[in-house]
Amino acid sequence: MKKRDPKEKKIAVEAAAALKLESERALLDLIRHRLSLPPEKRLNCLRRKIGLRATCL
Amino acid sequence: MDAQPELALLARVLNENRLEAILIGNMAAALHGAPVSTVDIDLFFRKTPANMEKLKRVAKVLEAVILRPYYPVSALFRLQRERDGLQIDFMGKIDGVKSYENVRSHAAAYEIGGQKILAASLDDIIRSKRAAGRGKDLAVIDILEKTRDEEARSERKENRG
Repeated sequence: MKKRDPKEKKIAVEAAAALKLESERALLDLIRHRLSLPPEKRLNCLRRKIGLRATCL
Repeated sequence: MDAQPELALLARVLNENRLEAILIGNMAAALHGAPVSTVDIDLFFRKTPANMEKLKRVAKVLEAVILRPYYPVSALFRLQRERDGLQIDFMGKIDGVKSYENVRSHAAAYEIGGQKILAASLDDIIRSKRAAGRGKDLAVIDILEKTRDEEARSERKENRG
Protein backbone atom coordinates (compact mmCIF):
# COMPACT_ATOMS: atom_id res chain seq x y z
CA MET A 1 0.00 0.00 0.00
CA LYS A 2 1.23 3.47 -0.88
CA LYS A 3 2.18 5.57 2.13
CA ARG A 4 0.36 8.90 2.38
CA ASP A 5 2.38 12.06 1.89
CA PRO A 6 2.63 13.84 5.32
CA LYS A 7 1.83 17.17 3.60
CA GLU A 8 -1.36 15.71 2.13
CA LYS A 9 -2.31 14.30 5.53
CA LYS A 10 -1.79 17.69 7.19
CA ILE A 11 -3.99 19.38 4.58
CA ALA A 12 -6.72 16.78 5.10
CA VAL A 13 -6.63 17.29 8.89
CA GLU A 14 -6.80 21.08 8.49
CA ALA A 15 -9.68 20.76 6.00
CA ALA A 16 -11.61 18.51 8.40
CA ALA A 17 -11.06 20.98 11.27
CA ALA A 18 -12.22 23.91 9.10
CA LEU A 19 -15.30 21.97 8.01
CA LYS A 20 -16.17 21.17 11.63
CA LEU A 21 -15.79 24.82 12.62
CA GLU A 22 -17.95 25.93 9.70
CA SER A 23 -20.70 23.43 10.48
CA GLU A 24 -20.74 24.53 14.15
CA ARG A 25 -21.03 28.16 13.03
CA ALA A 26 -23.92 27.22 10.69
CA LEU A 27 -25.68 25.42 13.56
CA LEU A 28 -25.32 28.47 15.82
CA ASP A 29 -26.70 30.71 13.05
CA LEU A 30 -29.68 28.38 12.68
CA ILE A 31 -30.35 28.39 16.44
CA ARG A 32 -30.09 32.20 16.60
CA HIS A 33 -32.47 32.49 13.66
CA ARG A 34 -34.99 30.15 15.37
CA LEU A 35 -34.71 32.10 18.63
CA SER A 36 -35.43 35.34 16.77
CA LEU A 37 -38.79 33.90 15.61
CA PRO A 38 -41.94 33.89 17.78
CA PRO A 39 -42.53 30.40 19.31
CA GLU A 40 -45.44 29.65 16.94
CA LYS A 41 -43.10 30.02 13.96
CA ARG A 42 -40.53 27.56 15.35
CA LEU A 43 -42.72 24.52 14.81
CA ASN A 44 -41.83 23.29 11.34
CA CYS A 45 -40.55 20.13 13.01
CA LEU A 46 -43.19 17.44 12.56
CA ARG A 47 -42.16 14.57 10.29
CA ARG A 48 -44.98 12.76 8.55
CA LYS A 49 -44.75 8.99 8.25
CA ILE A 50 -44.61 7.65 4.71
CA GLY A 51 -45.21 3.96 4.24
CA LEU A 52 -43.79 1.66 6.85
CA ARG A 53 -40.47 3.21 7.83
CA ALA A 54 -39.82 6.47 5.96
CA THR A 55 -40.66 9.99 7.20
CA CYS A 56 -40.52 13.48 5.73
CA LEU A 57 -40.86 17.01 7.07
CA MET B 1 -44.54 19.93 8.28
CA ASP B 2 -45.76 22.77 10.46
CA ALA B 3 -46.95 21.36 13.80
CA GLN B 4 -48.62 24.64 14.86
CA PRO B 5 -52.23 23.61 13.94
CA GLU B 6 -51.90 20.22 15.67
CA LEU B 7 -50.28 21.73 18.74
CA ALA B 8 -52.88 24.53 18.97
CA LEU B 9 -55.68 21.96 18.71
CA LEU B 10 -54.05 19.73 21.32
CA ALA B 11 -53.53 22.67 23.71
CA ARG B 12 -57.19 23.69 23.30
CA VAL B 13 -58.48 20.15 23.95
CA LEU B 14 -56.18 19.73 26.99
CA ASN B 15 -57.28 23.06 28.45
CA GLU B 16 -60.99 22.40 27.80
CA ASN B 17 -60.71 19.04 29.54
CA ARG B 18 -58.49 20.43 32.31
CA LEU B 19 -55.85 17.79 31.68
CA GLU B 20 -52.53 19.28 32.71
CA ALA B 21 -49.58 17.88 30.79
CA ILE B 22 -46.11 19.19 29.96
CA LEU B 23 -44.59 19.01 26.50
CA ILE B 24 -41.29 17.17 26.53
CA GLY B 25 -38.98 15.72 23.89
CA ASN B 26 -38.14 17.23 20.53
CA MET B 27 -41.43 19.12 20.13
CA ALA B 28 -40.73 21.00 23.38
CA ALA B 29 -37.13 21.52 22.25
CA ALA B 30 -38.38 22.98 18.94
CA LEU B 31 -40.57 25.44 20.88
CA HIS B 32 -37.43 26.54 22.75
CA GLY B 33 -35.80 27.16 19.33
CA ALA B 34 -33.80 23.96 18.79
CA PRO B 35 -33.51 22.93 15.11
CA VAL B 36 -34.73 19.35 15.63
CA SER B 37 -37.59 17.29 14.17
CA THR B 38 -39.92 14.59 15.47
CA VAL B 39 -42.65 12.19 14.37
CA ASP B 40 -44.77 12.59 17.50
CA ILE B 41 -45.77 14.93 20.30
CA ASP B 42 -44.57 13.79 23.74
CA LEU B 43 -46.26 14.87 26.95
CA PHE B 44 -45.56 14.19 30.61
CA PHE B 45 -48.65 13.87 32.84
CA ARG B 46 -49.73 12.66 36.26
CA LYS B 47 -51.12 9.16 35.84
CA THR B 48 -54.07 9.41 38.23
CA PRO B 49 -57.52 7.79 37.76
CA ALA B 50 -59.05 11.25 37.18
CA ASN B 51 -56.45 12.12 34.55
CA MET B 52 -56.99 8.76 32.81
CA GLU B 53 -60.67 9.64 32.44
CA LYS B 54 -59.71 13.04 31.03
CA LEU B 55 -57.27 11.35 28.65
CA LYS B 56 -60.12 9.20 27.29
CA ARG B 57 -62.16 12.37 26.65
CA VAL B 58 -59.19 14.04 24.94
CA ALA B 59 -58.75 10.98 22.68
CA LYS B 60 -62.45 11.07 21.78
CA VAL B 61 -62.37 14.76 20.82
CA LEU B 62 -59.22 14.21 18.72
CA GLU B 63 -60.83 11.14 17.08
CA ALA B 64 -57.84 9.07 18.20
CA VAL B 65 -57.51 5.67 19.82
CA ILE B 66 -55.43 4.99 22.94
CA LEU B 67 -52.73 2.34 22.50
CA ARG B 68 -50.41 0.86 25.13
CA PRO B 69 -47.10 0.12 23.38
CA TYR B 70 -44.56 -1.57 25.59
CA TYR B 71 -41.74 0.72 26.67
CA PRO B 72 -39.92 -0.01 29.90
CA VAL B 73 -40.35 2.59 32.69
CA SER B 74 -42.39 5.20 30.75
CA ALA B 75 -46.05 4.19 31.54
CA LEU B 76 -46.86 5.22 27.99
CA PHE B 77 -50.31 5.89 26.55
CA ARG B 78 -50.24 6.60 22.81
CA LEU B 79 -53.05 8.53 21.13
CA GLN B 80 -53.08 7.60 17.48
CA ARG B 81 -55.28 9.09 14.78
CA GLU B 82 -55.47 6.84 11.76
CA ARG B 83 -56.67 9.36 9.16
CA ASP B 84 -53.46 11.47 9.25
CA GLY B 85 -51.07 9.41 11.41
CA LEU B 86 -51.06 11.97 14.24
CA GLN B 87 -49.29 10.43 17.24
CA ILE B 88 -49.34 11.90 20.73
CA ASP B 89 -47.55 10.09 23.55
CA PHE B 90 -48.63 10.69 27.15
CA MET B 91 -46.04 9.45 29.63
CA GLY B 92 -46.56 8.93 33.33
CA LYS B 93 -42.84 8.44 33.94
CA ILE B 94 -39.81 9.98 32.26
CA ASP B 95 -36.25 8.68 32.41
CA GLY B 96 -33.79 10.91 34.23
CA VAL B 97 -36.23 13.38 35.80
CA LYS B 98 -37.34 13.34 39.44
CA SER B 99 -41.07 14.03 39.40
CA TYR B 100 -43.87 15.79 37.52
CA GLU B 101 -43.79 18.64 40.05
CA ASN B 102 -40.07 19.07 39.57
CA VAL B 103 -40.38 19.27 35.76
CA ARG B 104 -43.38 21.62 36.13
CA SER B 105 -41.43 23.99 38.38
CA HIS B 106 -38.85 24.56 35.60
CA ALA B 107 -41.30 24.47 32.66
CA ALA B 108 -41.93 27.46 30.39
CA ALA B 109 -45.44 28.54 29.37
CA TYR B 110 -46.02 29.25 25.67
CA GLU B 111 -49.08 30.49 23.85
CA ILE B 112 -49.93 28.58 20.68
CA GLY B 113 -53.03 29.59 18.72
CA GLY B 114 -54.25 31.56 21.76
CA GLN B 115 -53.94 28.50 24.03
CA LYS B 116 -51.47 28.13 26.88
CA ILE B 117 -49.20 25.09 26.86
CA LEU B 118 -46.30 24.15 29.15
CA ALA B 119 -42.96 22.98 27.75
CA ALA B 120 -40.29 21.30 29.86
CA SER B 121 -37.02 23.20 30.26
CA LEU B 122 -34.15 22.30 27.95
CA ASP B 123 -32.20 21.08 31.00
CA ASP B 124 -34.96 18.55 31.79
CA ILE B 125 -35.22 17.50 28.12
CA ILE B 126 -31.45 16.97 27.98
CA ARG B 127 -31.52 14.98 31.25
CA SER B 128 -34.33 12.72 29.96
CA LYS B 129 -32.59 12.12 26.64
CA ARG B 130 -29.29 11.36 28.32
CA ALA B 131 -31.01 8.87 30.66
CA ALA B 132 -32.95 7.23 27.80
CA GLY B 133 -29.59 6.68 26.09
CA ARG B 134 -30.96 5.67 22.68
CA GLY B 135 -28.88 6.65 19.66
CA LYS B 136 -31.49 9.10 18.35
CA ASP B 137 -31.66 10.80 21.78
CA LEU B 138 -27.90 11.09 22.25
CA ALA B 139 -27.53 12.44 18.69
CA VAL B 140 -29.41 15.67 19.47
CA ILE B 141 -27.93 16.44 22.90
CA ASP B 142 -25.19 18.67 21.45
CA ILE B 143 -27.83 20.70 19.53
CA LEU B 144 -30.00 21.02 22.65
CA GLU B 145 -27.05 22.15 24.79
CA LYS B 146 -26.09 24.80 22.23
CA THR B 147 -29.73 25.98 22.08
CA ARG B 148 -29.89 26.14 25.91
CA ASP B 149 -26.73 28.27 26.00
CA GLU B 150 -28.02 30.58 23.24
CA GLU B 151 -31.43 30.87 24.94
CA ALA B 152 -29.72 31.87 28.21
CA ARG B 153 -27.48 34.33 26.33
CA SER B 154 -30.44 35.99 24.58
CA GLU B 155 -32.39 36.19 27.89
CA ARG B 156 -29.41 37.91 29.54
CA LYS B 157 -29.23 40.32 26.60
CA GLU B 158 -32.97 41.09 26.88
CA ASN B 159 -32.68 41.71 30.62
CA ARG B 160 -29.76 44.11 30.08
CA GLY B 161 -31.49 45.96 27.24
